[in-house]
Amino acid sequence: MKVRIDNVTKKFGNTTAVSDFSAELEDGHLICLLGPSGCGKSTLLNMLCGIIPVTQGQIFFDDKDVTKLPPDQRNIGMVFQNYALYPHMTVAENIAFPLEVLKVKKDERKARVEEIAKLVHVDNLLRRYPSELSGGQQQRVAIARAMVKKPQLLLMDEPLSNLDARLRLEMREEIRRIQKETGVTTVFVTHDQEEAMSISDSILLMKDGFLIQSGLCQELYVNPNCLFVAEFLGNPPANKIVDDDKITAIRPEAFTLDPNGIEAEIQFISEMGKDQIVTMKYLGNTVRAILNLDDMVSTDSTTVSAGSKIKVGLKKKGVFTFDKEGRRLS
Amino acid sequence: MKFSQKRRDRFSKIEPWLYLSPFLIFIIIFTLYPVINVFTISFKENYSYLRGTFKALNFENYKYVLTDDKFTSGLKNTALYVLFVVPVSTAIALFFANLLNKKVRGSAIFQTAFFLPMVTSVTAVGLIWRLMYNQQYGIINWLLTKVGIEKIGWVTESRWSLLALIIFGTWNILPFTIIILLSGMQNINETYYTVARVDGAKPARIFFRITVPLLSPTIFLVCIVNTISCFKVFSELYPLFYGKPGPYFNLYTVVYYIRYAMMEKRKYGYAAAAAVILFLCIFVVTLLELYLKKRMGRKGLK
Repeated sequence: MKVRIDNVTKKFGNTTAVSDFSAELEDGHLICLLGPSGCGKSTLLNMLCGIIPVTQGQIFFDDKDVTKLPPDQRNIGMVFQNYALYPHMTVAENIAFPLEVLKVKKDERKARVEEIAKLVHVDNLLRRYPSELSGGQQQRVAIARAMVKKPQLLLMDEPLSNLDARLRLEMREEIRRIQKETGVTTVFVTHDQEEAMSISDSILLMKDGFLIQSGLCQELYVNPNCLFVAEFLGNPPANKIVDDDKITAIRPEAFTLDPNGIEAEIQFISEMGKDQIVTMKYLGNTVRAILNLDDMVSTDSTTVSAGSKIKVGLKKKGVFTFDKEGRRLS
Repeated sequence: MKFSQKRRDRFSKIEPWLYLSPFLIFIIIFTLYPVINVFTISFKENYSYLRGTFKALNFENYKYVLTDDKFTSGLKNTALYVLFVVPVSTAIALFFANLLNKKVRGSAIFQTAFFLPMVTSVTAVGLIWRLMYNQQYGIINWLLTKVGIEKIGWVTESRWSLLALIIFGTWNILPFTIIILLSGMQNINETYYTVARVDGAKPARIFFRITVPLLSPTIFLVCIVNTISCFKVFSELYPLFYGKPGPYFNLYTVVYYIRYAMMEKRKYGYAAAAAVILFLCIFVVTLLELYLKKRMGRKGLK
């Protein structure tokens, strides 16, 4: 299902949480609402869900205006940050609850619960209680409960933030797999740019209630429309070099070792797999670069360490210039 | 002044008892001693409180009490009182707590109104209820005549007196029950309700499928506490019938019987025996409730 958000604004008293937000969400895509905390992304998700009323503007599911519809008439599934599984019901009862509300017959209910449980790999846990499950398993059950009524739209509010790092990676792939297998249009809220880049088809990047840039993941990374986007995406973040009339953002991987380049003094080296993250003094600024110093050591035969001087150049890709207001120049 | 190591060691052993002693002494004198005393007196035949003399150690007191019509009818009345007041007040309290839990304008006013009976004296309120129950001028009968029911002698006819007591007792216990249930409800995470609403669950289903099960530990707690306090019904009875156990001495309760045996009959042994029997009743019923709680308690709720 396609979703169209038309000039949506949300005000809480005098504060504006979301201002004049417009976007189109493609059918079958996994769309990330990305932004720093407090940027209004959860508010927007709750408006898509219908929990929070819209102050101004409209929301369309396909061509139907759902702005005024209550949540239960929108045919959506929602996964919350803390999962919100009912502790007094078994996994099977939890998953069946939305069907129970819809008055689906018992046999069919059972069949559909089993079907969805198989899909999210919790079919062997159906008799357990939520307190007997691990965080990742609870997450799967929450997804199953949201998916069991075959919603047109799946909404997830920071679903991975309660998991530890390893499980987060695993569940990230699982959510991607489940989304691909069912083809349900999914909106995923996160403040973690890495998570957003790895999981989604497209990203809506928000700041202070405004939509800053939207597009496919790589598009935003390769072609940021303003300084904020360039800085927000990427880990380690892009380096900012401020001149009199412009600001240059250089991605760490845009640096290369170049005998004809500019001299930089290394301050600190940290290992990152086969490459190193090199913190260095470059044109008077402290920058971080991803370089492979091993090549240099073998040709130069001197060991490179903190205090050493190296010559670096810049690739074309990953260097952006902005004016003082942060608007993209080139 | 300097203390030797030995003296300091000895002091550190005594120190905790020093802090405990005011409370301990109080408990021993005013709780432990009377309880033990009641148990021993209940076995002393013809016990005289002033002289401390008794005829023999036996079960005569129990024999007398258990065959006394006043006591057996008192036990029956008390049991009926508990049987009605506890479930009815819990059900009504659940309903009101659920309403008070909603964030509506002026809910603070409603909360104050509902909790007010808790800080008023039972005796004073009981006298007001006696006026409300008045056959000729009482507001209850006035309301009943409006819907075409004849005036009832709530506190003057013996067949209505138990019902009058039960209604007043239920009303009297409501604020406490509502407070406990409401605080339990406020501990339920809001997202459970949000999830249910997104799925389209109606208020009634949310109440019975989510609120009540999640609240069940609190419901059990409040039932147990109320059962114990209802078994000891006395201060509701006393003002309602001007100190008599019902209009025609027909509405004895166990605690009223204890008072009667002690203050009117001056038989301390009977009073003590009745008190021990009441203790056993409460003990058994509470155990039963705890057993039920264990069996019926949902597995997921810890």
